[in-house]
Amino acid sequence: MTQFNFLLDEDNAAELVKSIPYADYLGIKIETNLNGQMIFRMPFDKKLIGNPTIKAIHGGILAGFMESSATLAVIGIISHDHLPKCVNMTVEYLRSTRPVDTFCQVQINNPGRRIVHLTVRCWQEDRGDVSLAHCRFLAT
Amino acid sequence: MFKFEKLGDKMFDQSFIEVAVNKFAKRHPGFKDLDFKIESIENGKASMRLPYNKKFVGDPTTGSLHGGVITTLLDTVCGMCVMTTVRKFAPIATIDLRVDYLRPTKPDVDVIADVECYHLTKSVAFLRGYAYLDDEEKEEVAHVTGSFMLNTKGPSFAPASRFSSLLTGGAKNQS
Repeated sequence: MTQFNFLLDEDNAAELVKSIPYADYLGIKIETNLNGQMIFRMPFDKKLIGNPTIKAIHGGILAGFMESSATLAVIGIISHDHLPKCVNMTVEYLRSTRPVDTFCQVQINNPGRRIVHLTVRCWQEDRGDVSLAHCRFLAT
Repeated sequence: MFKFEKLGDKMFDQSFIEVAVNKFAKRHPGFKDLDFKIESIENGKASMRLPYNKKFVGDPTTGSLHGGVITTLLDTVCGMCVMTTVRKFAPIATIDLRVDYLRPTKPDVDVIADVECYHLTKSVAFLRGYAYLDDEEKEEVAHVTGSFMLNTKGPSFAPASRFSSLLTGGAKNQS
């Protein structure tokens, strides 16, 4: 695992989230955990629900949250005047979600010159991971 | 594009699904924003439209939609497609979903997603499909493959197996 340093501080990051309409729609917030690592929070909102009977968050919304977080993380390691492009992404849904805040953390597996490989881990409360995503981004 | 064909099952034809889905979507806070519209439904196939919305832009410099909203569309169509295959509103769960983004979308152009179920077993449905722009060229935007679990019964509260803590190393998430 490669440690990565964010080029952004938290105020900067909030501004960046505002500049991406979809990330702003999801209400993504960038926070720091006790170990000083960057984590992303998606506060629960009614509009995120997919299955109204068990009030689980929509799988696609969860994928969108993980992709937005991955984009923000890639912006954090490479400075470009344009947004990094997602080539593809695979999402594994491990368990059903609850109507509470969702968190995710991005791990950069290989910050290559052309392709950046990432794993996004997504969880809620103290339970195990809700979903995992593997994404590839174009770094150029 | 798939053409509408009447299903043998009277209870599960397009008009019934449209009424059911529209009723569902009206009460559903998420779908009210996304505004998905059913294009066509066939046995084992489904097609839905995502109207262009400035709220879902991913790159403000080009005005193209965010990948996440394309994924949301594809996930919804896949779920819908499973239901047209098993012909009932069964509870289902996504096992995994892979999306390949081929090109960015264009501003003010709707996106349509066509998905088919190419294999169905007792407990798993396998799907594939693509999303394309609704303009003259009909360029493909994204490809999707996914697998869905059938006959799920809401959230599982089964006690964890005595091996599960060994497999995960007994680790809990540190947030």
